[in-house]
Amino acid sequence: MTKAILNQQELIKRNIIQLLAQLTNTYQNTRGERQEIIVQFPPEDEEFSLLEELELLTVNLRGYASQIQSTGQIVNQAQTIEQLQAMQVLNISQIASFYFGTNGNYEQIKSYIRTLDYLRLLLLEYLQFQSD
Amino acid sequence: MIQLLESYTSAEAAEIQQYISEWDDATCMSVAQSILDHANRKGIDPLKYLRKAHNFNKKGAIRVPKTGYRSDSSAVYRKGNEYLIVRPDQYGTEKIVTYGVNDD
Repeated sequence: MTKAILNQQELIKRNIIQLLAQLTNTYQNTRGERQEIIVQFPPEDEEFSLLEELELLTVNLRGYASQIQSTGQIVNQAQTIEQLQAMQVLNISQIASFYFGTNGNYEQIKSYIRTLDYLRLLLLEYLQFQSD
Repeated sequence: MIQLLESYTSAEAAEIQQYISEWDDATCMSVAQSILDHANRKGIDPLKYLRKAHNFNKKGAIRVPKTGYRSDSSAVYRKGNEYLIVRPDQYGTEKIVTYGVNDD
């Protein structure tokens, strides 16, 4: 691995760590919008609600990011790459219908969703450097 | 684990160790790391968070899906404003992935 690639990978790692902190702040700032969402988009009995989908996505992506923060690596790298590729945020129907169906509203949650997807892409980029 | 337990008394540390056996490490390296991250994001003391999740009563809760698990192996229990997302471990025992309060 060349020095240039190492530096680039280190930059991605720093970006991932910064995003983790940013996502924590953004999540805490979305409290008001989340309270509104639970009223406007109540859970249905047959599927995960918007907030439950967001929570699960958050937990999964933050977990991978925290592995990189702690060790610079992720266990089961090939499997993780497959999982991250399948975790496109807007492929989740509740998130997509909320994101595209509420023009001009809930901008903090939408920013949170975009940042989560950016984190997912950075994790993929970081892992792809490792597998080169 | 040391980081999770460091600010607690020995009795509280024992309580934490009892609760974390109910949890899945999800995509984290350890359950302890996962709990610290949940608590930090939600702005709550880790032990209080673990107690709330532990005290969530699945009896009478709505479960989605009603039986089995989604393709990502998850299921959610809902009761009032609270929810618990779970996954089965290798022995089929449900472990907590996350606990949340919708209006918190």
